[in-house]
Amino acid sequence: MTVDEGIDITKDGDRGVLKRIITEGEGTDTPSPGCQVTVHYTGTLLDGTKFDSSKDRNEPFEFFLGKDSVIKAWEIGVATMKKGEVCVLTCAPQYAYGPTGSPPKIPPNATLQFEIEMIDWKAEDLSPNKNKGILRHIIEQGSGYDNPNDGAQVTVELEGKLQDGKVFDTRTVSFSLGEGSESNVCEGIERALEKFTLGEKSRLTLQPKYAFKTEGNTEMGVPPNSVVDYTVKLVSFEKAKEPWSMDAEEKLQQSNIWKEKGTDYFKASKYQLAIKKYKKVVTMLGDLPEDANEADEHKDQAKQLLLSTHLNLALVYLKVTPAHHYKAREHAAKAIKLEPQNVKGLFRLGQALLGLGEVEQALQNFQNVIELEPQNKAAANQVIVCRNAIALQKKREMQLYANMFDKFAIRDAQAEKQRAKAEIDVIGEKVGEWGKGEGEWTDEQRDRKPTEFEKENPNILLLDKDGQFENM
Amino acid sequence: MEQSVVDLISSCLDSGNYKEALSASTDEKYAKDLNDNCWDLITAVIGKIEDDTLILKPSLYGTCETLLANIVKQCSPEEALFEFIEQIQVAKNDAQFAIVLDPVQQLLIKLSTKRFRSLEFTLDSMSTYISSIPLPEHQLEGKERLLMDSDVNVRRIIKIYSLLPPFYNPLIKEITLANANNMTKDILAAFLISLLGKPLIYVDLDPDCNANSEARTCSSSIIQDICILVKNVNKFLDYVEFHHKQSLKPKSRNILTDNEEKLSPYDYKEKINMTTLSGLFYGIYSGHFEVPGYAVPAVYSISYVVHTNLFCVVHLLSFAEYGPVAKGMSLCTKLLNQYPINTSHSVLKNAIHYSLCQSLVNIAIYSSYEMLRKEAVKLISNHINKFEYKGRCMLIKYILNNANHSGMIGYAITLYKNSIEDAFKESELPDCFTGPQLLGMIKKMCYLPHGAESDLVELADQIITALNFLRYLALKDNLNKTGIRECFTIIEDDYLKNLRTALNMSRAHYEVKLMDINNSKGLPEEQVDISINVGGNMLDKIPTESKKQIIHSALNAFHLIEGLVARLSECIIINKSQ
Repeated sequence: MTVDEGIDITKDGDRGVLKRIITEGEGTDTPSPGCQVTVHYTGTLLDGTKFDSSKDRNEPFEFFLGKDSVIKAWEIGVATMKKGEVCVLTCAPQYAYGPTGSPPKIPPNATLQFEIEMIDWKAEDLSPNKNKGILRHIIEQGSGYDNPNDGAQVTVELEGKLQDGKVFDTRTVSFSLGEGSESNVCEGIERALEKFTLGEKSRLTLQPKYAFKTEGNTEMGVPPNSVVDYTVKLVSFEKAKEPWSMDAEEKLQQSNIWKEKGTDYFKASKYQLAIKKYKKVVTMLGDLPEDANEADEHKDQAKQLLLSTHLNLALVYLKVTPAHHYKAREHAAKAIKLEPQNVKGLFRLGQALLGLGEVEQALQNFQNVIELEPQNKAAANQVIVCRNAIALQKKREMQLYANMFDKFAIRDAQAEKQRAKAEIDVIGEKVGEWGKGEGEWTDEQRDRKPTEFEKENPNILLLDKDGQFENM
Repeated sequence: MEQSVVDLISSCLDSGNYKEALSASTDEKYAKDLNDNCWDLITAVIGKIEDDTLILKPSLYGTCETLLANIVKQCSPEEALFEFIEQIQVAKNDAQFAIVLDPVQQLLIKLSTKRFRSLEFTLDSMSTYISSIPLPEHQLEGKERLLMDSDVNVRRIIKIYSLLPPFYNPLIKEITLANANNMTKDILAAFLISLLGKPLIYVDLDPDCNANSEARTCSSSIIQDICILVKNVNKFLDYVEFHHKQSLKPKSRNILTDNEEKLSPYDYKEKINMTTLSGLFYGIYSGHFEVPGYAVPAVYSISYVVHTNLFCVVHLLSFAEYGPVAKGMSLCTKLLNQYPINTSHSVLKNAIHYSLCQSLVNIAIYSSYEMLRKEAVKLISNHINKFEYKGRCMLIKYILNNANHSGMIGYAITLYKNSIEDAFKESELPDCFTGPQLLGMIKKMCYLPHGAESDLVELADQIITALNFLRYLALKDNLNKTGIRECFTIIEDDYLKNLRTALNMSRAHYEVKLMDINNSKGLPEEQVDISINVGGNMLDKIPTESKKQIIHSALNAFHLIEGLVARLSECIIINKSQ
């Protein structure tokens, strides 16, 4: 058997995939990633045992190139084949089924040989009903497994061409997937983007139905009913992933998108939406700067991002009506915790404190700002505001505390009177159940006139024969 | 005009004059009448059939069969078929369903030219009837599951399923002979795949349990036939991916709404959906059924096959019933066996691994079947150990973060410990077991949600395993390869201190409770009008003895923890002094 025959087509040059052409193909075109490829093949082990063949199924084998749905040797090998070509690929185990094999057909550590005949390929059809409405040719592969979800914020680079080669649309645009029409992004691009991975660059061929329809677009100079070619690169997109499944880089990327979105909302005075976006950033990155597992570079980036987000949040909370000073203080304080000398943070903290009536503390913050930036006029103004407020407060306090002692004296006197009155009440007319008892005075008894003797000797008490006070 | 043929035959059948009925159906003089009224006649004849007719009145059943066959011969096939399809949909019992199949088959063979529409209608109405069978569910485990075979509904499912292959086999033969890549083939294949979904997915098909059950025979022949029809079954992996993505979409914007183009039979969600596809790939990849070699081309990469199949696994595990979950587990076991060991952690970018982990954790904690819970625990460790160390740590961390159950967290800690033990055999410890990363993990393990006021009884499992793990490290790592020595201060300050306080408080609390119970003994039990209602079930009051038992077991746990804390402190001192 001719095991070692053929050209090494691996990137690493480790002779893992060897290709020997049996019949030359036509032309120079080879399928690009994403194409749906149709081949016939027969696979044999080195001892000549046939383990699988599409011919036995009497049906050519179809698969999508570049999705890693077939063994590595095929991904590499088939991508080099021209239409009509027949070749033999010799595939080392690490490019096929490795040490585990694929029982029962393929034993562990098996080198495989495939005779492959390239029948044809077609560009990947992304239109929902597979009517060739949206064709994709991948130019650069993206990375990762994720695609943008419906409603996700995406940023793309676009270049639109008519069939005659005239470029009518070149721009970088951000929009929410599903709302592309607002940014003049046609439906076909949106449909296709749902299948893009991050960083992918592809050429899309769109039928009018998925592009500018029968109307065309006069603004852009697209005539009615035209087929258009778009080169689209997905620069970034919002992920629907949970934070735990992202690594630091993804988290940062995602946070940046949210932050920008938040800022857009802020500029449009949509404060509640802005707050929502900023808060997402805070929850996403909250513990990243302290996470010992992360690289310093990421930690720094996260810190910067968190800092500006907290600053923005503080600002938004100051701007909403009614201003939310507590929240503003909280976020400004957090920003300062991240960077103690941050001028904006100090200033906003001051504003929040001023709003809360903590003028002294506010003043302190504004003075700190001026210390750091002596020419900061806004802060200087705020200092004046604070000083005035303090002066006003002092004046009020002075009014409050003026003649304090006289006031207290009057109050004490009044209190004394009250007390006296209360005491009288205790032994007043209504002594309740303690009247009438044995050895007690009844009201009647107390009200009687003193005897002559008593009048003369008010300090003498009379005792009866039992040694008790005698009723008088 | 005498009696119409419909009334005549009907009354003959009622009075037992079967011969007369038969002769009427073939009598020349009724031919026109019969042709005009074939719908009514079909309805009338089928209406005579009850579930027990075949046993009680076999001759009536036989007569009806022959009558229907005669009708098929004489009437216009389109019209008759239309009525039969109607009858399948409204069939009152399985016998009516059964008796219709044969004539329908005859008609379909007759209508070979424009068959696919009528075939589609027929199969749709059959699906409708099958889906009306109630789903069986009993809380049975182990060998007890064999009893499922005597469940009425399981019997019905098996009976109906066993009627199907004789019905569609001639069609398959025709298609394969013609070797045509036509619609009929796709329609039939889609129908067969749909049969593997509900209700069959609820029936046990495990060969270990009952290798020769009728249900297995049925499924096996369905799977074989699918393979014959579609040849390469892996092409449906694309559909799995598609349906999985669809299910992730927040609002299901049906992208197939613009119906100007014809849909392929595989695009109908009633036929091809996550459940039916899961049934299919359970059949293909679980190893429970024999699959012809040609049906699974040996060019697909393992990672593609496994990852896509895992979507099915996760879908099956999302059910609460035994049937689908058990199927998901079998499939998962088999897939993990194929998965290469020491897989790189970069594969974990694919979120399916986290979904799988989450599903298994949920089953291990919440499933009402003990067998499934135990099996899930095994699979969790199988799955995690397929990765190299960093990947294992990522998954373990995920469980620590997401499992809301002390026992599960305890198990995750044990897995971490086992991984470290393996790693010690390597020449150098990987990053994920040393320094800051180790500390990060320790912090997650040694976590008391409410500080010293945490509920130690609830957290006991986690605390005990965490302490065991730390003791293991303190003893094993006397060269400080992991950097555990630098963690001791944090462990002592943040964890052990709180734990000691918590122990003292909890013990005092429980001892007082115990005393209260002992003191109140002999006194008439205080009547408290409180009842606890959980999920509609009234909980009984806990009797005093059980209360005491609970308290004692809690006190025991505290005792154990205390012992472990003391031993750990000792080990820490020894480790530091080395």
